[in-house]
Amino acid sequence: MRPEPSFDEFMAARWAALYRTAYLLTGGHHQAEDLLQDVLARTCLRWGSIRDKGAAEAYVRRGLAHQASRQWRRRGRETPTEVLPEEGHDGGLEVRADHLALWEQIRRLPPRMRATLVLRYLEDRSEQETADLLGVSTGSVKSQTHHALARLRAAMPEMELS
Amino acid sequence: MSEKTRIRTTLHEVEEAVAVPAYDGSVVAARARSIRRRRRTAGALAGTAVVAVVAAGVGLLPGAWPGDDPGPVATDGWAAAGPGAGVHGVPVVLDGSVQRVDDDGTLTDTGLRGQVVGVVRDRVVVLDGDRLIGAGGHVEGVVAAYADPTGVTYQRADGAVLREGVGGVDADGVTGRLVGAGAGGFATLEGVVVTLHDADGAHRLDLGSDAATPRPDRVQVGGGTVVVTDSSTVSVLDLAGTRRSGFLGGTTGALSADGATYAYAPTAAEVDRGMRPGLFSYDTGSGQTRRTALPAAALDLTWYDGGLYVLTEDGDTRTLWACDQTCDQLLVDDGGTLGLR
Repeated sequence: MRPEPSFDEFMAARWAALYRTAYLLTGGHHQAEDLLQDVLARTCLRWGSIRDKGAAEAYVRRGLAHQASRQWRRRGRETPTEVLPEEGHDGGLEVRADHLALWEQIRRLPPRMRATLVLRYLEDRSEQETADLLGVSTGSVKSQTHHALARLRAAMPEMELS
Repeated sequence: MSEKTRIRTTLHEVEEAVAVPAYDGSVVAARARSIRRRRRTAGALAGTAVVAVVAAGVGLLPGAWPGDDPGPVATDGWAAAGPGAGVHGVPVVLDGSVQRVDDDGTLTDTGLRGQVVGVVRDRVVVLDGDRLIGAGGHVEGVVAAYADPTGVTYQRADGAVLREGVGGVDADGVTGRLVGAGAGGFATLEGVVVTLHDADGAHRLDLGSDAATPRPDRVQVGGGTVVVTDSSTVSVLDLAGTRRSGFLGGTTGALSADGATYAYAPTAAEVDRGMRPGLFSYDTGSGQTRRTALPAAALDLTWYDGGLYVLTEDGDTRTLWACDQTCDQLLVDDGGTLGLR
């Protein structure tokens, strides 16, 4: 029988993928690193009690969404990001110009709206799953999605997001 | 390209393109140590308060468990010996064994098996068949038992209700079934009649003329508060049996040891019936209710050391949460056997 991976082995294998998710959830490198390190530290403490190590990544991903949601609550009322968390970061992203423009607008969304889009559209989670992960109602997920799309449409009429 | 597809494609492309910094395990390890230190500090402060209260009552203890060697401290039945001694944390049952979960989510086996009755002076008390085990000793022929932080009340097969610990009430010749107990007294159920027994005698509970609680199935006693639940309603009363309040739903809940808070959370069936998800803390004094987000349907709740713990279920996965202003994941069991009792 294959031995269970240690926490370090797990992280060495999954760090990059988890970092990418944290980046999309937070919209910035510093915030992503801080969020992921926090969730990993908590996971490290509980590593011995995670009985199915094969489910550890799902556990961390749930933790990312949950912890991000908690941080937003602690910060109080969300406000749209008029000033991007990291100026000029886009120079490092080699993506199509129209996609980069859309990502810039997604980054400007309030954190919960952005996370809702990531969970719903990228991870293809249901409204109920998204609500559970973010600790909100399904009604809130619907509302956040609706308002996020409305903002994107308003910001990018030339993209024909309809 | 549809709106959803365009967003998905963009997110995928950004996900692939983002520069990933190298993993630094030492930073994560340092943060883990920091979290552990904070939790231990908080735990030590809470523990100090509990020890101070309990220590004041030690001299009042009636004696050791039957069969215990009283030892040099003759009045302290909850000696630091026997199964589970020196282990801390909320008790859970996992794969049939009684374990304790500390603030970091670490499990420690107590060596005990059976139904968790509660924790008395940080010792887990269990009922294994008709054997009540705790404090390094045991009592045979027990049919029901309820524990609170200062003692355990149990009923023998002959009906007698006995108390080991601080406070509580003893009684012989009790005809009803013991269904709940606390430091202030105990409750019995006979047919559909709940009777409270405190230092002033026996009081039949007034559960309302509308028969809103026709078949009580659980009674919890904490401080001067009694909570009676049936399949769909919760009634809050005082020790004299006078009804103070009540509400529909919320029957999966736990009353704090001081009786100040009744915490409840809807089960999957209740959510399906339209109950709002979340954890609700009902202040039995003011009648105010506070809601805390809880991302899954509840299975059970318990109080330990002044803290609230909620067990949720999502498919085969059961999760234990430590809840205060928010609920933090403490333990995840993908085997689906985790329980609080």
